[in-house]
Amino acid sequence: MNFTYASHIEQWLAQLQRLRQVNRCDGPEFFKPYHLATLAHVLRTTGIDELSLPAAIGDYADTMNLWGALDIPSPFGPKHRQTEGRYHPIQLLRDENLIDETAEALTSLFRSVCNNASTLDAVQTMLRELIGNCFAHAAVRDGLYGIVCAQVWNGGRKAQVALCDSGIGIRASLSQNAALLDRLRHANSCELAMEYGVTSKPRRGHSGYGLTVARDLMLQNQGMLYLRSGSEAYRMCRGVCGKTNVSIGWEGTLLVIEWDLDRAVDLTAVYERFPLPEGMSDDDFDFA
Amino acid sequence: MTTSTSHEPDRGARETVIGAEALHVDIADIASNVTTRPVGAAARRQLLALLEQHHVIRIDFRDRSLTPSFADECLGQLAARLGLGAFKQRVQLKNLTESSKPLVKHVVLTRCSAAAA
Repeated sequence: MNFTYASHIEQWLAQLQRLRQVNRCDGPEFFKPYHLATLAHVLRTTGIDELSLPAAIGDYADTMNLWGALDIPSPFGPKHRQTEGRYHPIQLLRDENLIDETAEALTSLFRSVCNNASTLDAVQTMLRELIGNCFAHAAVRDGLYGIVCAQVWNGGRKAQVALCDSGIGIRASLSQNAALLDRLRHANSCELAMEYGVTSKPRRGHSGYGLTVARDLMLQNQGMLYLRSGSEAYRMCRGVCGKTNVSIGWEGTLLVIEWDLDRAVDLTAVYERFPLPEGMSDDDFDFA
Repeated sequence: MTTSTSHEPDRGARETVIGAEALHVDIADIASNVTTRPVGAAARRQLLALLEQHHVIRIDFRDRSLTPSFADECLGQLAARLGLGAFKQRVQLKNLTESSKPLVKHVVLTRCSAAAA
């Protein structure tokens, strides 16, 4: 099983733009969590009373709680969804008190296919940080801070988490930091957001760790990461990074992370590579 | 890397540390999670209040992995407030996971450096 191509995500987002305009679009041959998270995001924004999907993907969409996420009745009727399995159905992020519980549920997906303790610890901590960032940075007005869903493909030895929010977007968020304004004139904001120490809220004590940790873990894993906000995107796959400006904008922010279940990751190595401030050394603070 | 297995269940205990009584603080008693900045900030305020009454405190993290945001808000900014020397003398950190140790070192040194600048 190959990693998701950035071009496939961009083609899908273009289809969603078409959906906004003409109320219909072409679906992909193979649905993944990012398709459903973004579809739910768009349909919640536009507001709908009814949704028709091709029969071939309707059952999967129902398993992933698409109708539930839209607050409309599912044509498949009520369904009992097991929290531990191959899927984490679409979940609306409304309550900051449920961050840990959500991250644990997502991590539990991987326990059945991965028994490496450091990997599980890294995945869970990364997800807690990223979901927490939705609440800290999305600056939404409707109380919906984000949408998350995930899937594990044990046969393909891959896992994907898709996280999107309808907030102000990365460029607008980083523009709150006056020290970044000059760089933002020329830089891709999604690429900038990946840098260590880049944050929108330095005066409110924020430090900009979340996306850096996600990027560094995916680099260790030789996995895939895609970040899209507005018309800007950053992608990394098997250690190869790139940025793009696309013609179609995306309201809010979309993060897709896909990793190789057979490659362990370790947060310790990520943190040890964070730079120490000038004049400080490891000897200035230790746990001996 | 695995998490530490040397958990020390000494909740409520006090011990003598270089002539000062260390107050044992269970992180679960001051923080509902070790994830978000708001919870980290509230925990930091409680720790500062405890440090007004006790010379040394000993925080037991119960082998829970801290997120960077929580570590920075709670411990990094606590260290910046106290100063690095006082933080090392007065705040003991117990049962941190192995992955949290380099994170805590980073946030403490980074915040102290910024505060001193």
